[in-house]
Amino acid sequence: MADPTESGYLDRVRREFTTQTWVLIPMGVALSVVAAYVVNVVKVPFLYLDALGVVLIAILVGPWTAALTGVFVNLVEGFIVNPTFWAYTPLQVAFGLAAGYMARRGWFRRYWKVVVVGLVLAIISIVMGAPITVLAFGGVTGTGSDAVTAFFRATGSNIWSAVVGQTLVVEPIDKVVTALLAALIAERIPARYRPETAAKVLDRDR
Amino acid sequence: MNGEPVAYHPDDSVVHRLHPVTKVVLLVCCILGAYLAPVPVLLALLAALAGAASLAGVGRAVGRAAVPILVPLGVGLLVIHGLFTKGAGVALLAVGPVTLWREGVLYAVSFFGVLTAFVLAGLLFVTTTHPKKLMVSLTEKGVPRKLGYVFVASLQLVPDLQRRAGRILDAQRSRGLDTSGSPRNRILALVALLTPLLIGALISTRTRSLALEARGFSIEGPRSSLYSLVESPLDHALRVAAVLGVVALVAWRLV
Amino acid sequence: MSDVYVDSVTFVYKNTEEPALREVSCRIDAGSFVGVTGPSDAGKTTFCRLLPGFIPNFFGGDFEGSVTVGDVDTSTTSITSLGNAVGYVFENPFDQLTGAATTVLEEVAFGLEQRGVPSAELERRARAELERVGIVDLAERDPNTLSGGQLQRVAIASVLALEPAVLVLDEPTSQLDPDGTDAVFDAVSRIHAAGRTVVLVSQDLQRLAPRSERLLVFEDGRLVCDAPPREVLDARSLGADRSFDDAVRVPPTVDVGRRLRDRGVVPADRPLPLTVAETVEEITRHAEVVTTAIPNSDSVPDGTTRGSSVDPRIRIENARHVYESGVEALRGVTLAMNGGCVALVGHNGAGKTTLAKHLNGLLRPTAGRVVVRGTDTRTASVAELSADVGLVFQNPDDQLFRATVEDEIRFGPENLDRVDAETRVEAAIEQLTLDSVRESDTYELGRAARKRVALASVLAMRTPVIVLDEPTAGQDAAGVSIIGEAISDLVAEGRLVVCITHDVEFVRAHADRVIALSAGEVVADGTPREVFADEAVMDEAGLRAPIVTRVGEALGLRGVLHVDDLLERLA
Repeated sequence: MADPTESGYLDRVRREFTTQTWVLIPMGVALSVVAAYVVNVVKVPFLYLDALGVVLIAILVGPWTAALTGVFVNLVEGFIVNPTFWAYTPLQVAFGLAAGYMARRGWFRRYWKVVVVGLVLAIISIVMGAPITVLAFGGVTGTGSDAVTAFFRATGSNIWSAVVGQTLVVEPIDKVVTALLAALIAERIPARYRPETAAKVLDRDR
Repeated sequence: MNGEPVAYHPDDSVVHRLHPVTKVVLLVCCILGAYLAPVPVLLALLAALAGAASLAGVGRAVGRAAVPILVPLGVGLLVIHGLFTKGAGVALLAVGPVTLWREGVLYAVSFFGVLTAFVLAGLLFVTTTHPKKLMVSLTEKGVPRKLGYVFVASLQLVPDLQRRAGRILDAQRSRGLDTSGSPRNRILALVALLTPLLIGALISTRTRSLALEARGFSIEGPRSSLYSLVESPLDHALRVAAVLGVVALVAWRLV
Repeated sequence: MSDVYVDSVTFVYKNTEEPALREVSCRIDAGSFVGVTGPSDAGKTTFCRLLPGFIPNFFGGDFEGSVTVGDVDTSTTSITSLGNAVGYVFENPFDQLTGAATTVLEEVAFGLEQRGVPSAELERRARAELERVGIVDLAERDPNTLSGGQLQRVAIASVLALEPAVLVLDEPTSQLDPDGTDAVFDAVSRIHAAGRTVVLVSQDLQRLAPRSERLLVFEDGRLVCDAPPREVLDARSLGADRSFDDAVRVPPTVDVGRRLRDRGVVPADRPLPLTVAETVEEITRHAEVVTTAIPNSDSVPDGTTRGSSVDPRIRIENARHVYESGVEALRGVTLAMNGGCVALVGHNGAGKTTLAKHLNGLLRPTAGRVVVRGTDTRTASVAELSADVGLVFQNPDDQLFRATVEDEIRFGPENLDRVDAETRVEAAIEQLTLDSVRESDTYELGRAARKRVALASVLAMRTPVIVLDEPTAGQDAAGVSIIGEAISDLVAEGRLVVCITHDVEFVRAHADRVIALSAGEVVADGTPREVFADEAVMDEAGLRAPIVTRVGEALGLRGVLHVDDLLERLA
């Protein structure tokens, strides 16, 4: 006999995936890609927002859908922007799972809590991203962040500390702003277009 | 996004005609191989990739896409390693306080070779593989069909959403939205730009869900496809060769 | 046979209180062509959603009554299997596509692929459907590169591929230009002629009425009229106190026909004309036409003319614009505009929107110059120019983002940092009669109302110049008249209103000056009477003159702009 708790869990995962969910995933993916373009216009330093789509899907649907969105964000960005993004796929998956589980536990109901979600994403990014950057790319990213890495190298750090130092500077800003924007935007979604799974996540305790 | 997006270049070369699964295998093996290979093998791999790109008639497209990706990576490697990895302390060049170290530059150059192979392999794959045929072939190999849908739909949605983002930007600027100014103002500007983008996306999601449902997206059972894909002996040979190549490199590393 | 029965259906959407449909009953015979019309938010879309089972299978709520298609009860059948019986075409051309097709052929084949139709048959059937809607030559194109009218036909072919007996189209042309609209209506006519049942929702009765065997009129969730179109539009046949003129956009030929009957030119008991040909026919049969020239008494209001001595609000000097893609969208445009209502007309791609974006600096000319109230647009930012020129784009959903209507309207004045923001907001709310919904979430309103919110949000900026892109698209009769009045008020206050529009009837009623663009150049600039009378220009600009002008032309009268012009020439 199957373990009842396990089948209940799988059931919950399965319930996340309706036709609407399958349509939402490409939306989340495209939003992440296009958010980067919008940021480019507004020009905020060290802001990339490439996790925005995943965090939004985490809020609107759930962790597993968000994780799957994460897989496709980097797969697709690799296809249309830059193949090196493929290497960072595990990060996006982890963002989706973390944001999704925190959303279900009410971490998007207060703004200070959203900041904490952003910091958690930043920690994931540092812990998982820095090794990928050092091992797969020799410590470079091909973005403006490399200037920060170079600064740390100039102060005498080895490559590992320099890349960790760089992510410590860049990631908290990007991820906290990403989480806050996701919360602000998701809250503005009119009731009739809000997927049912989102209501519980956003409604404030009254 | 900077510059032209990378895209599939329709053609009928030998490379285009390879079965998509063969190309996935080759892509993965090329990338793994690049990291494992000693310098002479890496150079051979780079030459093979360049040759395949010109054989496929996408040399120019791959080149144009590769330059803006590789130049910042190369400059970054040169600065971060060339200037700061002292190694045995042999200077290559010294200008004032800035010294370029021989060992750092060598490391940067060899790593740049690996990344070049990575990027070229990726771009060659993207420019010669029809996304829809990739989806069909992976579905035939047992990848869930809905994942294939997500992949192609994501690729197709990006230009659509990008056009909308452009229209939203025009509309909000016409209402006096200032996208310069303090960081706080800029982040508020992002809210004014991204909110309509998301709401519009959700409205279209609802329409699309209904349309897909009515057209049978969730039917269980066998499916057919407009495209029939054939696997030639060349496909099998290349797959075996690529896997053997990677196995050989791993063995060489371990010995 | 697949008759459709709707039996006393009442439906309340989840989280709402008012029923969207109230005790609606009707029968749609197999093979008939049924037109559906009525004001915005009257229940037309909700009615359409019944037939393919979207209600109650997708949209939750309180559902009473029953709907059967053939012998199938929609409430107990899945949307997927109903897809074989009822094809549904949505308003937005792009959103209803799968999004996962890289060619038009793949899109059309999608439904067949899901049903496992053998590969050999797939392509043949998909091509046959494309042939039927007249776009088989687009089979290999990427859907992302097609126009709205082409996409809408792809959508029709895609649902037809499943061979449903019934085709439901919910305002399929409200976002299309006249060419696209004609193409869709023609395709639907052919589909009906081939034996399918068609249910088509539209505000465009001039095109809908002649094709429909019956017209259903919805008002406030009720089916208030179900009769042949001539009866719906003929007050006498309905009884003295019933008229649907407030609920529907009365087609201009009916308007002409009624006036002819009121004047006694045409016998009152003759059926109303639904097409230009019918109008011409009844006039030639019953009246003598006096072909004297119509004096051109209209003049372009003071200050709008080309040779004005004062510096006009907008001066465009030999402006050219070449996009990065190399497309030359403006090829030397010289214009001065100061006041009145100026209509900018022409084909899609003629450069109208490009020109409009030059007026507030969103685009700068690549050669020549654009001067707005004395400022060269190259020397000012869009944010600065937005105090002088308000620009409202076609799609309201590209700009609405705040929680309530009132808040949304405040966005513009806030950006301008005006102290009297509140009075401006109040005035704009009043001008577009949005008072009853000021606290509502904008997205709880229908699209037509959202469009008025977008318009109000720009009017509240009180700019001397206002540019509107397709202000009447998708509006019902009431919406058109509210927007028309708002424009007249603005003109009376001395402001310059520039309308980009395909709606020639609206131009006829409201514009003082018409500027026709073709391939990036001004091909005509004059009063509506002058421009509409010039057939060569109209052809070049891809426009069809207003109905009454066309009736006049068929009778040998040039420059007819109002029904009175016509009546004066009839004996």
